Amino acid sequence: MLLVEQRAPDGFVDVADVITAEEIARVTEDYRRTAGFSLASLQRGTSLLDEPFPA
Amino acid sequence: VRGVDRDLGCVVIGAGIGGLATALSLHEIGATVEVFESVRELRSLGVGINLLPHAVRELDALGLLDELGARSVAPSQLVYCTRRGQEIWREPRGLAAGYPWPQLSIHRGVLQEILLQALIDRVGTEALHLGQALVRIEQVGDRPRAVFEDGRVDADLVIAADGIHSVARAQRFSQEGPPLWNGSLLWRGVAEIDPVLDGRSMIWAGHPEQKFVGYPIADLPGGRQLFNFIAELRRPESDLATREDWNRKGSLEDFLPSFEDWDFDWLNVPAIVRSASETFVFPMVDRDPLPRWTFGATTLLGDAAHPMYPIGSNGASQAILDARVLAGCLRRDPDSPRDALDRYESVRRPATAAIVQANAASGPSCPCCWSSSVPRTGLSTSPT
Repeated sequence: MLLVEQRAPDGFVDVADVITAEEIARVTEDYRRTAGFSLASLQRGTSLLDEPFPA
Repeated sequence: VRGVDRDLGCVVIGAGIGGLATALSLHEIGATVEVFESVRELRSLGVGINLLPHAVRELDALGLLDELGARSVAPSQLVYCTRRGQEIWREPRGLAAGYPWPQLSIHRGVLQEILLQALIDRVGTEALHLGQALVRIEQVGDRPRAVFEDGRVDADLVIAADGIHSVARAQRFSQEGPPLWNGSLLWRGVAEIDPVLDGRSMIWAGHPEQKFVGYPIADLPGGRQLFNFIAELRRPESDLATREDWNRKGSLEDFLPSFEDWDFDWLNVPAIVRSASETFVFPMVDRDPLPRWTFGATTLLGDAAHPMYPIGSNGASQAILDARVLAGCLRRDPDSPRDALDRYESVRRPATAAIVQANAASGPSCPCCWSSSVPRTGLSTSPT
């Protein structure tokens, strides 16, 4: 969001001129993965209580 | 996978979200558990928080999803916009994004109340000891002993979930000092308003220097909603940043003037702020990741282990994940509980360190910033 403020401090007509959807999607997906809740990681229904963590 | 022996006596320090989730999870695997909390009365402190789908999955496994769902709001989308209200991006959240579990926005006090009631129902009131302030953890023979101001208890395992001002953490890392402040202050409050957008939207407006985050946390009769908000300002010179506390009152004049022109046609920030009966002020603080959480039969959990900036809905969610991994490791390794604690740490410490660092960097990996890094300093007031 700071990136958008820096690139367009007075606002914009079309946000695509400021930041691409791909840029934002990459950032938000990276964060989901870091925080452990990417969509792919939750498709298995296993609770962490049953997760076979390696020794 | 068999459960642990009921003779495995576990002491949990702290009856916050992480401590209660830990106690319920330990009870679920068959351990004996007691919770020791420093306050004499548990009150509904805090404002709104978010539970991410992976944490909700664990609360569902604990049999709490129905009650949580009835007392929260499941956001359908997150809308990012500028300080002028221009939309930058919106993305679906929770079930709307295809997750098998919802994201839940809920009052922290309500979540704590639900966890506490479950503990009382399942384990009994005798498992909860209020007014027990931890002084230190000792080792007596091969067992840990939790020493309180007016008593002590020996256990097989001690799990310290005593928050960002953790006594157990300070005992092990006495040179660490106060939490690190990045120069931003957060004013948090809850207002009763008409729904914004679809009434299921989280809103992030502005940028790291000045930001407003809001989301509904409860539906009210008549169509109104309780709307949680966080107004954030960079104020590195402020004397308000003394200590992180859930119960520190804020003043409108300290922050509202900066948001007076944030009246968009779809979101009126000053009106929402004025609707709140009270606000609470918090410094944006965290601590650096630790090199170690586990010492023999004692370990850290939740904010005691990995306090992080409240960005990205992670605080309570990560504490719940800690609790479940800890209990899962004990269940898989019931004959070697100390090895299980080591395994818990090996899973959770690097995972949470990555989030602490992502939130602190305020950089490209942080979803609300996407740029730049802000230095942090120690608070002027030491934890007490």
